[in-house]
Amino acid sequence: MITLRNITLTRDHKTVFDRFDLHIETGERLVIRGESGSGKTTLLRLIAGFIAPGKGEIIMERKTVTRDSSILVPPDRRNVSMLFQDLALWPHLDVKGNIEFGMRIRKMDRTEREAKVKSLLKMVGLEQYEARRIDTLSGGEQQRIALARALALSPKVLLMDEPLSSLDSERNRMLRKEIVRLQETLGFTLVYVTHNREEARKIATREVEIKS
Amino acid sequence: MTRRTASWIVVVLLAVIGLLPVLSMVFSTFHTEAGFSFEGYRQMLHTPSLWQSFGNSLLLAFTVASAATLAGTFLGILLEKTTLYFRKIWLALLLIPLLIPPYILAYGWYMLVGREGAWGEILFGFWGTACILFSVYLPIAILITSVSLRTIDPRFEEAGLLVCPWRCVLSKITLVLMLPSAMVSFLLIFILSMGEFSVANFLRYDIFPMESFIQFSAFYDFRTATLYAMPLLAIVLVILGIESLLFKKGALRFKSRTERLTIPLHALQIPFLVLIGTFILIIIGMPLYGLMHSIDAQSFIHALHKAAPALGQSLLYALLSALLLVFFGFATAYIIVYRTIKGWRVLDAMNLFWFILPATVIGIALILFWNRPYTNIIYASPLIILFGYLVKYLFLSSKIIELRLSQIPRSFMEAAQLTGASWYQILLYILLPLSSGSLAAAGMIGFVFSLRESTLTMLVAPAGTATLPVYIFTQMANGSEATVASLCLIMLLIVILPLLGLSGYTAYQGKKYDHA
Repeated sequence: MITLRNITLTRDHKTVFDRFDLHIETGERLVIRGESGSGKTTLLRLIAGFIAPGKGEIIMERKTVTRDSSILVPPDRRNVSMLFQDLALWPHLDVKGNIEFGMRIRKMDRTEREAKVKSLLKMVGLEQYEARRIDTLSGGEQQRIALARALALSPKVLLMDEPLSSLDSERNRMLRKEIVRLQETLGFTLVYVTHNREEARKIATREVEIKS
Repeated sequence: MTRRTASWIVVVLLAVIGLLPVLSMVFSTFHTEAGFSFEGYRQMLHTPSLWQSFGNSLLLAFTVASAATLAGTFLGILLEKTTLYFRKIWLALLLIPLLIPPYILAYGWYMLVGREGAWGEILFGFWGTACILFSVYLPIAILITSVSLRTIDPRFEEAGLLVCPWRCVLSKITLVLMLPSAMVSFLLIFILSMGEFSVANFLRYDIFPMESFIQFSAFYDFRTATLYAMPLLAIVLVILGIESLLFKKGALRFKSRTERLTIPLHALQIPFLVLIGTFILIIIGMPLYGLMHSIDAQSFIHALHKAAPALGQSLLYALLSALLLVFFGFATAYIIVYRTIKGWRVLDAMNLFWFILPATVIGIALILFWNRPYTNIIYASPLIILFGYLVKYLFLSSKIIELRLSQIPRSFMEAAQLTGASWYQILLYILLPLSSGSLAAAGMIGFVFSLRESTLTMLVAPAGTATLPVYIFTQMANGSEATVASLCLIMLLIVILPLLGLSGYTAYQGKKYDHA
């Protein structure tokens, strides 16, 4: 359960959020819609803990993680993962290196790590791609690897920032289904940002529109 | 250790190495046996010969900066924005004068035209000095123009092209957008020309930095030498003030765009090729020919043999300096790009301050500060040379790395942050590998600039230490012409060969991450 309460955020003398409230239930697929510049990405960055608002608080699992301009719980302790709009796949690491990065940081046992990478790749349908370089993958394959990486540490909350915006309609439809299937199987809370109404309707169990 | 603490450690280290010496130098000019006094400044103001050389320096710097900025802007556009053939080759050739000690070009011209006759009279005076400094600092204007062009949003030009041809878009849009960078070029070249003294010294043209150098090296009058360094310091501060007033967001903070529009040259291709070829032949080809034509195999081998110890020392110091520059360059670039501490702007300004501060001023400041019984280990060892190189060239290495770091998407770090990676793990596993190309480039540029440095080294080098540029400079006074020309050729080769290696490496890196 995530609660954003009375969030006020100003950027470059412009108010992005003014006493904004939002409640996200555990296990739901919440889609946030809005025009460009309405603050959709900023909202995800607030939940992830990359930034703090000037005023207001964010509560996750009954614990205040952000209060006013203080980040009380850093991003890596929130059990949150994120699929970035530009995917943010590290080009100097191969597919396996990208997926297992977090597991290495958390000093997970090698055998366990390798098994997890294999199962994640299988889950996204790219079993043979372990040693592939990122720049040799197609757009759709990169999306799947980014998804596998985001799920590697079994997050309770997955934030998605317009992850399908760069794909053609056929690939978009396929991955959309994939995301819903994974969410239903793994049970994480999904917060999905898009400006596309059709995409929102197909994914959401609940929709919220934010206006600038 | 937190990111903030590590940042502060770097800042404090740099302040001790470079800022405290300058502050202590300023303080020493007011300190007399009788206490605080302006007497030194009063005496300096009443020395007319001093102000004659100061006027010469101002005129020289203004002429060089104006000419180099105009020509550099034109050449920068030609090389960065047009379809001119062999652009990379022309650019590489034009960069050569910046990468070698400036007096080598002066010596080349001297070998070509001699000291007597009409050409000799022109060379040994204002115009000769100005022309050589023009060719030395022209690459700075070209590089700044080139980088500035990459930051312009191509949409601005595309919108212009819908209503008028390229010639009009260039003059009404591109050049107007580039004006701040041209201003930076002018200011930078102005202050660098103001502080450069080896060319004017060889060509017997009286300029201000020589006054301080002579007081220091000929009369051992530290106090007067320090006082004479103050007007140069004041000009540096004025220029820094102008830079910060005019460009509050930082004109020297670039973000490269991948999209670019190029201007097709069509029928102008051949005329421009002839123009640039002739220009390069005159400013680089002729002085190099002047050097080459007096070299024979025997004199070259003899020079190599004689210069071997100095060459070894040069390479060692340049290598150590390059390592220091990469370390501190990365650290300062990291602090500036990610704003890890509140004073990041001050650090940015300090880097520029040290870079444009004349080498004589840095040298005197370092000697005054470190020449104490309890810091003798620094003063009497090559460490003082390394400190000098570090503060002088940190700006270059920091900017190269800053440019790369600012291109790495923020999301790359955030993705790692979500996995629990600490700041130094992100630095080690994400930022360092992704900026390896820029680290190599910063190291190589640091290596080359440390290798070519002469004025600072002459001032601070402990007894028994002579780098190759210093050795050549002393040989110019009493060595045979063939030996000096051979030494200059050796210098040229040791600068150019590593750069060829670097260009190969960066081309490889470019291809590696091209699609990422």
